Amino acid sequence: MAKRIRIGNNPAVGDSGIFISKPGRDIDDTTTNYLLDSRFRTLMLHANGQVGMTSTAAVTGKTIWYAEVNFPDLGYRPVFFGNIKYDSANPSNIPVNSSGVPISLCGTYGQVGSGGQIFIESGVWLVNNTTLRARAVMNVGGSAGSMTLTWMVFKNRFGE
Amino acid sequence: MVARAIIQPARIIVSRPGVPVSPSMADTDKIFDSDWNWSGILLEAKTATDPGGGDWNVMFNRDYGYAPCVVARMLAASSVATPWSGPSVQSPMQQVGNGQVCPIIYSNRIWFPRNLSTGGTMNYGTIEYEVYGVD
Repeated sequence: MAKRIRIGNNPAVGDSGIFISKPGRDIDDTTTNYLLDSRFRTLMLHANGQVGMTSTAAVTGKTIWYAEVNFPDLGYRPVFFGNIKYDSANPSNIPVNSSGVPISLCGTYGQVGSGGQIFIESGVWLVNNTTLRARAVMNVGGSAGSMTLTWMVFKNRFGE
Repeated sequence: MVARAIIQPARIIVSRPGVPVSPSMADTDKIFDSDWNWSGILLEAKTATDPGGGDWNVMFNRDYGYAPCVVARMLAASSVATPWSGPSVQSPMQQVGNGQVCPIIYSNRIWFPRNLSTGGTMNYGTIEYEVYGVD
């Protein structure tokens, strides 16, 4: 059985702390990640949710979905994750390109459905310490599709 | 108060506040289980701006010994100003015409290639990235 727990000095990393290796991996094996490593922070969820995005044809020849989410102020810029899900005309409900590769969040080019509709932009970003915004832009106007934003904000501070 | 931790030679489990710990409990009620493969370790979360020139290497805080998981997003100018004039958030894995670039993750850095596969160069602008302790 592999040695998996070390509390105190850990010669394998040259530091002290609490360390637990992954199942089946020895604590001296530093060629992969530890399961628990007190030298680093663990993700701590602050707020999360899902919201349907509003669509508009404010720009001729494009359909734009957008959403804004507010969350309690931590007093600093937090780490976040956001994902836009296309709810219509796609069996997997995930925007994919012609090779089936998800483009949600990445926001590069991809074709959705059989109508040749192309997402030219999509993304989720932090406006300030309390506001998250998401937007997806399709290259045709009047699309009847719907989009959902799934978001998570963590207590972890961005910039460390 | 309920018991929230099991510490055995072969397993450590910690439950959520208020939930009695048990080896058979649901994962959603756990904070930590040594049988998992990942526990949400965030190694670093930062911003970097492309200085131009040759290939761009964004160095990590240290050499982690393995290639970690990286989530990176590129903040570019948006093609539409409505409903917001905010950035367009794009992947640094880009296709420009028929040319492509694909960043590579090493144990100590993210390598952003400068040259597109069909000629021309890529400017990454500002990148936000998170590095997770999982390979």
